[in-house]
Amino acid sequence: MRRLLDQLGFRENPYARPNQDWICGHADEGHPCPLGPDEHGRCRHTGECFPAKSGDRWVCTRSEAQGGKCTEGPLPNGDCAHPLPPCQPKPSLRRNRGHLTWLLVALTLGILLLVFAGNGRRKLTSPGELSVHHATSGTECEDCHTPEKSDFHSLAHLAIFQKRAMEDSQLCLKCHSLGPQPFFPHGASTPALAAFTTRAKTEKSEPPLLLRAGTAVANVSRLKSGELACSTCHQEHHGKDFNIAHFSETQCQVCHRVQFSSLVKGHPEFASYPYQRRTRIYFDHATHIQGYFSAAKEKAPTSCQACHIPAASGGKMLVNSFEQSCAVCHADNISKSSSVAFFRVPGIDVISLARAGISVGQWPKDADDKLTPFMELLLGTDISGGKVLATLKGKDLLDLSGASPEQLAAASRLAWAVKEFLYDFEVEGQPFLIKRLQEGLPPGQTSVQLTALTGGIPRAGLISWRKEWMPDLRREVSDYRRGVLPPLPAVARAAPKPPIPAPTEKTKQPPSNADILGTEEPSKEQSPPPKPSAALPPGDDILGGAEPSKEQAPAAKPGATASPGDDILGGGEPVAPPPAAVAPPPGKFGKQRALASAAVVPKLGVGSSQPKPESESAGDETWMAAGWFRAKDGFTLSYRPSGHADPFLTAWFNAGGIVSSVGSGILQTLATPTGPGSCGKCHTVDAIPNAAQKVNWTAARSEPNAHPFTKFSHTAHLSVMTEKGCQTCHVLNPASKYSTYFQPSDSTNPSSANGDPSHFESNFAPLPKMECGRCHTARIAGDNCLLCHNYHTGTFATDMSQVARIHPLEPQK
Amino acid sequence: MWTNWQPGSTAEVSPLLRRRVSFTAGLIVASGIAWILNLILQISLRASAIYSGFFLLALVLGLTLFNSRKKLPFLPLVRASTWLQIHIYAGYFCSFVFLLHIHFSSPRGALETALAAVFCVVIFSGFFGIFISRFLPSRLTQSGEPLLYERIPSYRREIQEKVEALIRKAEIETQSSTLADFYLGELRPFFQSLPSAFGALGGIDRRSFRLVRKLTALNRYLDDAEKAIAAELRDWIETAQNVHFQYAAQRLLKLWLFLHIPLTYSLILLAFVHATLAIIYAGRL
Amino acid sequence: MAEESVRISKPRRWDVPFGKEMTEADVELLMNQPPFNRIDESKFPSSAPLRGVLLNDAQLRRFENGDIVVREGDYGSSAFFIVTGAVQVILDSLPARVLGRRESQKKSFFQAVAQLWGQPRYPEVRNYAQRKITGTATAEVKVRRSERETSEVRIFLQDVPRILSENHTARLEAGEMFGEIAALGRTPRTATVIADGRTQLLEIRWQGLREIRRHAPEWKARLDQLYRERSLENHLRATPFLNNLPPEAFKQVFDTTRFETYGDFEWQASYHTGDDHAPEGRLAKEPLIFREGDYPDGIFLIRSGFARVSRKYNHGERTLRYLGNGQFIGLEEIASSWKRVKIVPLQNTLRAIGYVDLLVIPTGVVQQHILPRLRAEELQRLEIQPSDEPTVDLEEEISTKLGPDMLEFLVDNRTINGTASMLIDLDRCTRCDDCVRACASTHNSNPRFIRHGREMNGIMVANACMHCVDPVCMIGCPTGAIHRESFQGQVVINDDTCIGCATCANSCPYDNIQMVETRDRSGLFILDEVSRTPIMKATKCDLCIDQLGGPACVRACPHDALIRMDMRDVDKLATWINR
Repeated sequence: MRRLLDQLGFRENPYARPNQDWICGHADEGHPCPLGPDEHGRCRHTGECFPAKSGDRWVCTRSEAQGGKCTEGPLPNGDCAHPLPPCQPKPSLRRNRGHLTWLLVALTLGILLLVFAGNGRRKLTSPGELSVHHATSGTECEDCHTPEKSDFHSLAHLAIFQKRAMEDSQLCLKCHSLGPQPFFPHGASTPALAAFTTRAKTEKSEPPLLLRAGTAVANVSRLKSGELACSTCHQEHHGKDFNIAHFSETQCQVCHRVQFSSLVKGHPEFASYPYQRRTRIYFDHATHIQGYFSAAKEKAPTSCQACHIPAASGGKMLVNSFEQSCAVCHADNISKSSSVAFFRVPGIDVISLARAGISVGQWPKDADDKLTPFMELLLGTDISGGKVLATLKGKDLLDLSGASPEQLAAASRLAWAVKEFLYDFEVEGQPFLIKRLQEGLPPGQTSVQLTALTGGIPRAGLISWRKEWMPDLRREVSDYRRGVLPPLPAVARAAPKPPIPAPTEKTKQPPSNADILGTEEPSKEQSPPPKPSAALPPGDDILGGAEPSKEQAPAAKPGATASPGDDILGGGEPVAPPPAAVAPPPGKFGKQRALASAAVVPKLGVGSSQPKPESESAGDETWMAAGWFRAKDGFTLSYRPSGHADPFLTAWFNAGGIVSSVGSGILQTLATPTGPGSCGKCHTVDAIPNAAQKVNWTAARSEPNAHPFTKFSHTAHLSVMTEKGCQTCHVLNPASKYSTYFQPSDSTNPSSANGDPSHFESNFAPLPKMECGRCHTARIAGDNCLLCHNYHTGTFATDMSQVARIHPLEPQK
Repeated sequence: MWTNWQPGSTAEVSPLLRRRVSFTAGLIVASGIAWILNLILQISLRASAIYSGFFLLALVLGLTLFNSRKKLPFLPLVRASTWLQIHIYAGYFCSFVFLLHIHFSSPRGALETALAAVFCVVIFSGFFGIFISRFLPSRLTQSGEPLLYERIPSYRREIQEKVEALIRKAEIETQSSTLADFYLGELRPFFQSLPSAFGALGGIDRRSFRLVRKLTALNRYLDDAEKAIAAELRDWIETAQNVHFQYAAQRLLKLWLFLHIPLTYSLILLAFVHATLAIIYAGRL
Repeated sequence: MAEESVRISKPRRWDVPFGKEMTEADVELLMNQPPFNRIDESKFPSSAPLRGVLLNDAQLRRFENGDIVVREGDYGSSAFFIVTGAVQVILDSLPARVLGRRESQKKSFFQAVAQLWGQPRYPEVRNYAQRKITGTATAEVKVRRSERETSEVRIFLQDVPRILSENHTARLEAGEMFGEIAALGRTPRTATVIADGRTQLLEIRWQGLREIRRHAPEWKARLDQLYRERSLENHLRATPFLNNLPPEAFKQVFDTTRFETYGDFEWQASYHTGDDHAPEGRLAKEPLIFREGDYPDGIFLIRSGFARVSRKYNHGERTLRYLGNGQFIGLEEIASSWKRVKIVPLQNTLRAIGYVDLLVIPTGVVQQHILPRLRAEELQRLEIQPSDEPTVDLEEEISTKLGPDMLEFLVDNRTINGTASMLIDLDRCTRCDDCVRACASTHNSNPRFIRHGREMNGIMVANACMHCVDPVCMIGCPTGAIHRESFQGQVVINDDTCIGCATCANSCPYDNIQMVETRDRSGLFILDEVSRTPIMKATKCDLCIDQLGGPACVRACPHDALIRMDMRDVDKLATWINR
C-alpha cells in the first residue's frame, strides 16, 4: 500500500501560509526556520533558541518541543550554539505572478510609446488597408483626416459632436465633386427635401420592426446641420476588397419617412417612371405603329431596334438619327416646307413723316410689310432693346397719320436704323452682323454659333437690291451720321420726282434690261405652273421647274451665260455684287438671275402692269429649292432650309431660345409645326419659366455626368424580355392624349406650344411596379435599393484638377 | 430533539444543474439581444463598432472585478462561486460581443491585430482554465493522497532520502547489488525527474507501472530480505507516482493564471489606446 | 540579531480573574457562610487554594427582579450559587423575543474594509508593542474585560407574573446552586433562570467548580444529586413521547429513570493514542451499552455525547447511525413486544463513542404509562416486522444516504461531533487556496486552518475547528480563554487571556488547534522576559464570528467545493455529498 506523506498532527503541521510573499529556503528540506525570511526576502537565520542571561551567564532556552536545552549551551557572546544555516528565500508563486503582471504592463507601455514616438506610427496605428480606390501609394492620413488636435478634450469634443467627421468629409470633396450640396441627403437642397417630406407625409409607411427600432435610435435624421458626413455610410480601412459603397436597404430607409420592407412589399408604385418627361422629339408611337407603319409597310420599321439602340453604357435606349429612322418618310417635308422671311425693308408711311417734317430720305414706297423678328435683333440693341419698337407697338407703320410725335420719331429712327444696317453691312460685311449679334445675344456665344447665324446672308444680293430701293443710301447715311438730313420730298406731288440727279443716268439703261427680261417673259409664262404634289420629291420639283426653262428657253442660256451681271458691270456700276457673293451652285446661279431681274422691276414698273413682277417673283420662289431668295414682294430677303438640320435655321432656332426680348418673335416664326423647315413639327421647345428656352434637337441621350435618382440598364434586361419584346414593359396605350401635349395651347397662336416638358402623358401605359417585382426580390434578382437608385443625385463631373494637386505626376527619371 | 442553534452561516448548496441551465439560458438570451442591438445600431447608421467596442471594454473591466473581489473576502459580497459562474458566462458572452465587434472577420491594423491576439490569448487561457478546473480535480482525487503544493518538494526529498536509505540498507544487509543497480539505472532518474508542464493532462504516467513490473521481474535474483525491501520500494514508487501527478496537476492549475491574469492588464491598456484612436478618427457616434 | 523584539512576562493562570470586582472581603464573607464554611480547605492543593479559586474563578453579581440570569440555549461555562434572594427556573422554553437574544457583535463595514490595508506583513503579529506591555499586559486586559462587563446589556422580562403563571417554573432559594450542568457537561443551558426579587449570585466558572468538586467530596455528591434532578426532569420533558404525560405518570417515569454514564469524560486522551486511528478493533474499544439480541430493558435516551448504533453484518458490524443529544433507542423493540408472547430482542448494538450520558426508562414503566397513551398509528409505525431481511427503516436510510463507508468514516473519526466541520469536495476543489487566503486576510493575514485532512470518497474533512457539540478542547483551559460564544455557540479563543499552555491543542482530538509563536510588527518573536522562549498562543478557526457575512472560507471558494457542515443535519449532509 502507499505510504502517507502528510501527517495531520498539529505539531508537525504549522499553518500553510500561501499568502506570504517569501518562503524559507529550507522549506524544501521539510524544516523551514521558525522565524522565516523578512518582508524583503532576506534570510533572518538565527539559532535554534534565543539564549537567556541569568546572572552573568547565558543559558539555552530551546523549548521542549524542539528537543529541550542543548548540551553545549550558548556561545560566550550569547548566540545560540546551533545556528540555523542561512538560506536563499524563494518568492512565492503569487509574488512571481504579480511581478510578471507588472513586467507585462511595463512592456506593453514601452511598446506603445515606441509605436507612438517612432516613424512607423502611422503605419502601425492604421486600422487597416484602404479599399482599392483609395489605396494609392501616396495616401497619407491627412488626405482624409483633418490633422489631429493637440489635446484629447477637443478630440473627444469633435467625436461627440460629430464635427470631426464633417471636417473629414470636406477632404473627400478634394476628389469627389457631388454637386452644390454634397452633404445633404441625396445632394438635394433643403427646400427640395422639405417638399419630398411633405409629399411623403401623405403616403402610408409600413416599416419592418428592426427598421423601426433603427429609426428610433438613429441620429442621422436629427442632425442640426442636416448634413451627413461621408463616413456615415462609407467606412474605410476594411481592406482592399471591401466595398465601401455597399449599403443595406434598411440602412437606406433609416432617414426616410416612408419605409417598407422590400420592392415588392411596400415600395410605392412608379408614378410616371420611366416616362417622366415629354419626349424631346414629338413622335407618336401609337399613330405610327398602328397607323402609318401599317399603311406604308415597305418603308415601315419591323422592330423597335430599327429606331432604338442601347447606349454604349447599356443604360438608356437611344433613338437613331433622323436619317436612319425618319428620313425615309420625312426627308421631303422639310425642303418643301415654307421659307422664312429674314430681312425686309418695312413699309413706312413716308408721306405722313414728311408731312410731319421728318425726312428719311429715299424709301421704296411699295414696301408694305413688317419688320422680321430677325431684323429686330440685327437692327441693334437701341431698336430691339430700346423704346423704338415699344413706342411703335401696335402702330401700323404704313399709316402714320395721326401718330404721336414720339411714334413719328421712333418710326424715323427705325427707318434710319434699317438704312444704317444696310449701309454698315455693305461697308463692313459679315463682321458687322456678328458685332450686332454679340450686342443682341447674351454673352458667351461662340464664334461658331455666330458664324452659323450670320453665314451665307447674301451681301452682294442685298447691295444690288438696295441700289434699287434706295440708291443714294450711302450718301444719305453718311450725311445722316454727320447730322445732315436729306431734304424733305415734295409731299404734294404724287409721283416722286427724283430729288437727286444721279438716277437720271440710270434711266438710260432700263430698255436694254427690259429687253432681256422681255425675252424671258414668254418662257416664264409658258412654263407650267408648279404643282405642289407631295408624291413628287421636291428635288424633282426643282428639276421640273428648271428643265422646261432650259428646254423651252434656249435663248435664256446664252443670256444667262452672257451674264447680264457683266452688262451691269459693263454699265460702270459703281457698286457691283462681288463675284464672291455669287455662289457657284445652280440654285444660286438661278437666284442671281432672279435678283438681276428683280432689281429692275420697280424701276420701270412704277406705274406699269403688276402681274409681271408677281409671276416673276412667284416663279422665283417656287423653283428656288433652298437657300436665299428674294420674296415676291421684292423687299424681303427670304431663306428656305436646305434639308434636315439646316445649320442656319438651327442656329437661329437656338438663338431664339436664348434671347428673351425678341427671341419669342423668332421662335414664333420658327417653332410652329408648319413653320419654315417645319422643325417645330417634331423638335419640341422646353420653355421652363424664367429660364432660356431649350430647343430639343435630339432625342434623349446618355449624359455621363448625370446621376439620376433612378437608374436602369436596358442591355441587362434584354435577355429577360418575354415574347412581347419591348412591349413586355413598354405597353402601348392608344387611349393616351400624347399628341395633345405637343399641340399649341391656343389655336390662334400656332407657336404657343405647351413648353413645360413635365406636363405630359406618354403614349405608353405607366410601368407597373410588379413588372420589376417579378424578378427583383431578395432571392432572385436582388432588391437592394442601390440596384436601381443612386444616392448621390444631380449632374456633376469629377474635378480632375484637384486630383492632380493631390498626386502630382512624378517626372520620369 | 436536537438543540435548535445553528453555527454561523453554513452556506446552502445550490442545485448546480439548475444554476448551469439558467446561466446558459441567460447567456443565449444576452447574446441574442446583443446581436440585435448591434444590428439596430448598424441600421441606424451609427458607428456601431464604437458602441460595441465600449460595451466590450466595460465587460472586460467587469470581468476583472472577479480578481478584486478575491482580495476582499471580508466583505459580505456575493459568494465567489457565484462570481466565478458570472465570470465564466460573462467571458463566453464577452467573446461573442468581441466577434460582433470585429464583424466576424480578422482585424487588419497592426495595433488591432495585437489587441485581438492578446484578447484571444486571455479568452482561450480562460477556456483552458475552465477545462482543467473541471478535468483535473477528480484526477487529483483518484491519484491518491491529497498533498499541499508547497510541501511537495519536501515530500519528494523525503521519498528520495527514504528510498536511498532503503537501498543502502539492502546493500549492507544482503551483500547483493541487484536493487542498488536497479536503483541507479532506473529508479533514481524516476524519483528525481519532474513531470512535464502538461504531463498532468496526459493521464496516468506509465513509467511507474513499467518500473514496478521490472522490479517484480527482479524477484528471481532476490532473497527474502531483499524481496521485503523490493516490496517497500514498490510502495514508494506508487507514492512518488502520486506526488508527481499532484505536483504536475496543481502546477498546471496555478500556471494557467500566469497567462490569464497578467495579459488581462496589457489587454486593457491596448484596448484603451485602441478606443481613443477609434473615437478620434471615427469622429462620430 | 540586530533588532530587539518586544519582551513581556508570560501570562499565567489567574492573571485574569473571572471578575475584577471580586475582593478578599467578598471571599471572606463567603467563607463564613454555608456551604463554603463546611469545606475543608486543607484538602486543596497550594497551587489552587479554595480562597484563590473563589477570588479568581468566581464573582458576585447582583440582579434586579426579572433580570435574566441565564438563558436557555446559551453556552455558559459557569454555575451560579445563590447568596441572597431567590431565582425562578422556567422549565418551558421561552420565545427568543422574550429572551431578547442579541447578535454577537460584528465588525462594522468600515472596520471590515479596513482589513484591506491593516494587514500585517508577518504571521501571528500581536500588537502588544503598541500597548507597551511589560507586566502591565494583564492590567490592560482587565480594563477591557471590565468594559465588556459594564457594557453588557442586562435584559429583564417585562411581565414576570404572567410568564410565571403561564410556564412551569421551579423556585430556588438562597444557598442553592444552578447552571452546574451546563458548566460541567459543556451542554447548553437547559432552562432560563430569572431573578426573583433582588438577588445576589456567586458565579463560579467551571474551572473553579471543577477544583471544588475534585477536592470537596460532599460537593461532588451534592453536585451529582442536583445534576440528576435538574437535567433529568428537563430531558424527560423534552422527550417527545413523555412531554404530554399526566403528572402522576410523569412522576412514575421520573422516579424510575436510571442515570448512566459510559466511556471516559475526557475521551480525547485515549482517542489521541495512535492505535485508535486504526478502524479494526476500534469497536471493541468503544464501551458497550447494549448488544444486539439482548432483552430490551428500557428506552435509552442520550443526554450528552454520542453513541454508535451498529448491527451484525457477516463477520463484522456495520454502523447504521449515530445518536446524539436527545435521541433515543429501544422504543420500537418494547412497543413491538408489548402484549405479545414473543419478545422482540434489541435489533442493534449501542456503543458509546468516547463518552456518553444516558437516561434509561425501564421497560415496565414504558409499558405501563407510555405505550397506552400512544395512538394506534404511532404504535403501528413503531412496529418491527420480524424478518431476517434487515428492514429499511430510519437507520438504513441514513447509512444508505451517506453510504456505509462514509458513515463509518465520519463516526470513526468522530467528525459527527462537528457543528461546522469544514468539508471539501475534492472533485471540485482546484487547490487554488483561495479559502486559505480568505481566512488569512480575515484574521490579520493568519490562516486559521490547514487545507488538508482525512479524505473519504473525495470528501475531505479539512483541518479546521469543527465547533464540536462536545468541545473537549474546553476541558482544562486554565483561564477559560477558550469558550463558547453565547447564542451561536462558536468555540472561540480569547487571544488576550490565552496563556499558550497548549492544553486545548492537546485535547482537541482533531488537531484543529494550532500553537503559534507570536511576533511583533517587525516579524520577530515576542519572547518571554524570563524563559526567552516565544510567547505561544492557541489559534483556531473562529468561524469568522466578527466578520460580516459569516465564514470567509465558504464565501471565497470559487468552485462551491467548501462548506461548513453541521454534522447533526444528516439530510443536509447527504444532499451535499450526493449533489
